[in-house]
Amino acid sequence: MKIDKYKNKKGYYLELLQDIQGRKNYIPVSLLKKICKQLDIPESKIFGVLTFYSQFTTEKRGKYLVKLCDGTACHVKGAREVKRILERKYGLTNGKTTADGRFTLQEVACLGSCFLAPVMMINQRYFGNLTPEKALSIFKNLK
Amino acid sequence: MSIKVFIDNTEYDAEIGQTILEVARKHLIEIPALCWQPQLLPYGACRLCIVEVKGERRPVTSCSYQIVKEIEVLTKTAEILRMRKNLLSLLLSNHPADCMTCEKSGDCLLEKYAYEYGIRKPAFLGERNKVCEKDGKPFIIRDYEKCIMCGKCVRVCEEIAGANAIDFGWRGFGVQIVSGFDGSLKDNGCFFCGNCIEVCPVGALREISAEKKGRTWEFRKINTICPYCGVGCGIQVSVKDNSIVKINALPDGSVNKGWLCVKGKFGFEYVKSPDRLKKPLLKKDKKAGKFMEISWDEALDLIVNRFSEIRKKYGANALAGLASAKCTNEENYLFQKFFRQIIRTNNIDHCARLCHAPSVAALSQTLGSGAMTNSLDEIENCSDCIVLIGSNVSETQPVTSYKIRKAVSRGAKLIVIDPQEIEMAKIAEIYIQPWFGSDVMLLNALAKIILQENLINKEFIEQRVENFEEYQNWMNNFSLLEAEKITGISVEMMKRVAKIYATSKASIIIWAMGITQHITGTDNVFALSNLALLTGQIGRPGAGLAPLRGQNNVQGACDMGALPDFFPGYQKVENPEIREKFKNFWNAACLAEKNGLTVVEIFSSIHQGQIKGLYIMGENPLVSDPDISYVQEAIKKLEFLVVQDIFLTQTAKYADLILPSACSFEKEGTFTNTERMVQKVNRCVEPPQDAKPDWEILKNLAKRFGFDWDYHSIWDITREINKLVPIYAGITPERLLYASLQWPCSDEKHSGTSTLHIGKFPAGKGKLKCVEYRYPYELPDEKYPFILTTGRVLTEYHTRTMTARVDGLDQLSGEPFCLMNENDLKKMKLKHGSKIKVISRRGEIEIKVKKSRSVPEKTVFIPFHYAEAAANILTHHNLDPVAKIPEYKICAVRIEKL
Repeated sequence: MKIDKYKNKKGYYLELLQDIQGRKNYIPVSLLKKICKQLDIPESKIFGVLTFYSQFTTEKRGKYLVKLCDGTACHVKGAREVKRILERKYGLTNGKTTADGRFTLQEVACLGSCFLAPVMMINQRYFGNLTPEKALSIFKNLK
Repeated sequence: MSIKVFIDNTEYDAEIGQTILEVARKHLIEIPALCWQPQLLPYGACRLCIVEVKGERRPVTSCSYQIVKEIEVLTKTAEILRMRKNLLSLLLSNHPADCMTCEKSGDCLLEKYAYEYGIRKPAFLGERNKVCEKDGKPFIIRDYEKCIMCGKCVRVCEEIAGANAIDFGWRGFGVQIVSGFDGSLKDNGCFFCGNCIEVCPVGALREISAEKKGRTWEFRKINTICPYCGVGCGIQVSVKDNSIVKINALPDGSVNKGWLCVKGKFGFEYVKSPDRLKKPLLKKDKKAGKFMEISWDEALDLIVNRFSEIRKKYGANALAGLASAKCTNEENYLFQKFFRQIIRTNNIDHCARLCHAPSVAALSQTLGSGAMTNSLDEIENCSDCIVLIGSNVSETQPVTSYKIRKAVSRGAKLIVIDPQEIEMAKIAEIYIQPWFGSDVMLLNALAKIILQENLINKEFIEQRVENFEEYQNWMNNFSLLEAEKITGISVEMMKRVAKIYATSKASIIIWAMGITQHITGTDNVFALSNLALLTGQIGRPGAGLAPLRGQNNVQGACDMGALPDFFPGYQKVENPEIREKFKNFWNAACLAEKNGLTVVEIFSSIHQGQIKGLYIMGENPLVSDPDISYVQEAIKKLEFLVVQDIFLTQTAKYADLILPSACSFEKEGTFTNTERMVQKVNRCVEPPQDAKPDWEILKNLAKRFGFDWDYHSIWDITREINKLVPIYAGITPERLLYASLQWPCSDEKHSGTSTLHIGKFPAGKGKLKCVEYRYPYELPDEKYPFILTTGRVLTEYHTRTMTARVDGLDQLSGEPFCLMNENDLKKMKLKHGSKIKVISRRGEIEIKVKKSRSVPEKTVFIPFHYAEAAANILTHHNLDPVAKIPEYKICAVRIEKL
């Protein structure tokens, strides 16, 4: 990873963390420690930022990060059923990555798209108006 | 500018920009505050200090509210009191109510405020901090259950110490103080300065050493001065049952303004070490090195007999003494008096020879006085440009580094010049890395640029410098390009440095061993002095020349004439009038007329058979002096060696007689710190068994020699110093009870001198010195391709007689190590932590190597503290011709893999 662009810059911790997570899909602690040394960042400071934002994770994530909404609207419109079928068929559990390393499930409170309820995000894409069947076919089409 | 403020309907004066809380505290108006610390930036986290300000819609935090116009403040309205009580109640709801077992009880702010606001139990029930302790070994307990998130520890770590070892982590209720990746403090760059403990308002951060030793009201508290470095921090020692429980920083009126470093805060365990010398010891068997205990009477008689014998047989100059920069002024005064009055020789010196002799030699010639010209506070508050050259100040004088850090955050420009990329380089405006031993070249180049670009201060030169034209002519032939070649610094860069230094309002140059410990040490200081004289950056608050002194009382030991060429107060031995003055005062028959020998000369004289008897008070030359095997051979040749110390040092092992002395916590007297501040040292605990304060030993010895030294207390000696030493004349024991004073202080009305040379130099006019560049004595060649440079580390002190006996310090840096550049390690296929052999023309040592980025390539850095891998086995004993200081900073070595 090229880190030269951060040298002589100020207030770049968030950008750096996003950069790492963008490339690696998570933040490997050993890599971050190495970068800290090279850029002379106090580890305590970067750790403070890292733990403040929920978007960062230091645990390895699956190829697909599934954010399944269980906010009020989605809950009422059947998000539970969608979750149950995914649990059964693909072995997804909240906060965990599947054994094959393909999926990580994150239950979230709202994706801001209640008009599409029930809704989930897979990596950067939204999928709305879900039914258990529709969810399965979406998963089937993932490479 | 002054402004009127009404607080609770009473009128007070305030400065614009002052906060309400500052004004209130100044006038003893109590406003509670948990996150406020006067030395740190305002933070406004705890909200306890809220007050009502007329015209503001809601209560404001008085710690961060700056006064810019006339205001009316109410601090105790019913509404404010109710809100504060609620806030306290919230804090207490998330705090264990375990004051009855808490170490902090009696000293805890939260407990105090709960008492004052009458909160018997918290009003809220809910989730609580979990019991959780994190690793702060070897010194700090981090008890997270008690943390109230005031953030003082985080701020002190960043703003003052600059360690950045901790920060806030996580979010919401889960917020905690974290070190990087939740690891131990030790692995996270913590300096263990303990200042986080100093500021913690509750019991969340505590000293491991004080655990279960009792609580604040059980301790006797004595104020004294830290025994370690030359900053002279004021400390408060808590004592119970004749043992030191803990040490805290003195906040007000002290040099350190409430801060300490790892050694001052935690390094006191040695006082109670079982290894302390407790009885006089006589060598029984020279070969086996066995000692037996004898009485003081026998010991003193033996010295009288042997010294008299030697003097009779070989003359007075066959005896010599090494005084100690760790002992008090009074003791050093008596030591030189003993040698001058009773033995009648000037063969007295001490370790200042090995540190700042060049600074004293050079500055006395150019300015007329060798001491630091400014106060440490001026660095913090007045200097606009700080040139730090050859001083790894964050390792050697941490509290001074805090002051520099504060200056930088105030906007002062820091220029770091050092072959090693030291910690302070990180916050420097400019960091330049000249090649080892090229200082004279670099400084001359800066002077050349100052002349060339007309950055000189003409008015200052006309009024206060005497040989400007001669210097200017000499400079004509100086070539900047050659300087660039030798120093490795571009002319462009040198121009930037020269410009900032010359044009800043107040510039100060701070230096230490990196300048002095060279065979060109004196020349280096001449070159620095030239810069100050050319630009007029001297003789004003914040502008001057600051040689940082190493040991707690090295300034004092010099002041007291523990030098072969000076009586106390830098009064020349070779001046007949001065000699007459001392002769009369001491009632001596005669005094030796010639200058005596310096430290390294004493050892070569022993080799040549001229010196036969040596008296060492609190020094350990067998680790600290250059080319140890040479010193060792010398010491073996002595007919009689007396060592007076608190421990059986490497040197004491060779002694014929060892005298047990009291350490600085066990006696009274005065220390003079690096900024010429004379401070009172107080007795905190009793010395072990028969150990005695050095002044008592010397007094008793003088009496055995038949001299009537009638000192009833140490303060009688101080009074004698007042009479004999003009610069100390006004620093009387009575005044020292209430305040510390900076010399020169000419009489009892004089308030001491913070800045030297205002308006005039003691030498009259300042002298510019034309100094030619000379190469170091020994440079790398094919056979010895590496440069060895020696120095110190934060957690050790000198020859480790004290620090090795502090368990925590030993855990942090007990093992000898050297630093090498990571690229060199790669090239030589060495790993971090592998053992290597370092070999010079004098000897070899085996040592662990650590990877470093601060040390340049082809260089080895070895701290000189460790006797088991003593760097000074490798160094050479060739001296600066003027100051007689050895070149510790440069010699050639080769590295072998093991």
